[in-house]
Amino acid sequence: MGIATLVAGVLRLRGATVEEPKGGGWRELTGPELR
Amino acid sequence: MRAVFVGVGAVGARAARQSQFLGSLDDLIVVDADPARAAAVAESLGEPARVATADEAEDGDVVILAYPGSHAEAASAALANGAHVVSVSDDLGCVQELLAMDAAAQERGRNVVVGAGFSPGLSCVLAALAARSFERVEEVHVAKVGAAGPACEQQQLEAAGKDGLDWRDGAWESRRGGTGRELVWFPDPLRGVDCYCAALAEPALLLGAFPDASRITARAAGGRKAMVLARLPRLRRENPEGTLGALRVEVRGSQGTALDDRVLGAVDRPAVAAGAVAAMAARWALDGRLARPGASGLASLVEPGPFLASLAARGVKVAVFEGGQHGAEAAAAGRH
Repeated sequence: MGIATLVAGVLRLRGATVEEPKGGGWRELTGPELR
Repeated sequence: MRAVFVGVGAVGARAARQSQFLGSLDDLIVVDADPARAAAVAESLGEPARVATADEAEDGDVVILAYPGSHAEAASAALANGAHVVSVSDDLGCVQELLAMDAAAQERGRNVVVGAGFSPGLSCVLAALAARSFERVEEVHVAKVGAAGPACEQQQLEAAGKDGLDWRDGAWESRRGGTGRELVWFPDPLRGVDCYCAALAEPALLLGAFPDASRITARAAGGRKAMVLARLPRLRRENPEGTLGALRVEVRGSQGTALDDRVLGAVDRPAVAAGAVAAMAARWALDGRLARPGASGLASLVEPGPFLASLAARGVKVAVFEGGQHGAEAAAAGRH
């Protein structure tokens, strides 16, 4: 019980429930977009 | 042209180096509280760099301030001597003091470029670029992660413990530091990072550029967890060059009757990007390319496209987030 609580606490501190945004992504801005 | 670099730590040394690639300088003066460091940086830079005393610090065509603590006194003295001033400070109190010099700078026909680093700095230019997509800007939300060096890291820890200021519906709203956890999606490889309210300078700087915006907020990684960990013994030495950092700037606005948003970001070593931004701002001030005299942030002073194109040529790249759920959908979910 103690260990499980500790692990859950650490995971919470680390923000472990991270989901990637669906269908999106980063693309470098170049050329005409920077004029 | 004479440029004076006051403070040559992780950011100031890089700004001095970058300035040598952006146009000719007759004199490049290095001033630092640590004489040995100033001498080492001047030697590394080569001609025309030289070390000077603090008395000469205000005597230049442009003075770049890149040391911890308040820049107000040095900026005021430099302005009185007819110099342009570029400050890389990210301290909210310092930024507010420098912005208050607007009338004095206008009177002298000089620029005080406030917050000319990574964040604030590159963050403000990204906001200006994103705003070009809209007729009217409704909201600007900035998030950042990473530190430019030990002094910057210390400043961020102090900022995390202080209340932040958000601009909401025509008034400043105080937000307790370390609260308001929000998962922010930065460009690879940093990706999802929890960010929190803190005493950050972006809202104060961006309001000048977007006076009609209803919301301007800023968040930073770290929060109370970092404040607690910072008090524990360190198992490894601080990296003098700082950590990898990232920015995410979201601008929501209207084009005709349509509401939309645009998300821009950057990943870099904050010291590298901040040095390039400060050097570029100094060059633009010397060349008379800034929009108007006075004290303000970069969002009000530069054409964001050409400024970012010049930064890209120096290796500082920016990105756009396309697709996915953000902006209007996320706002509907009550994220901000």
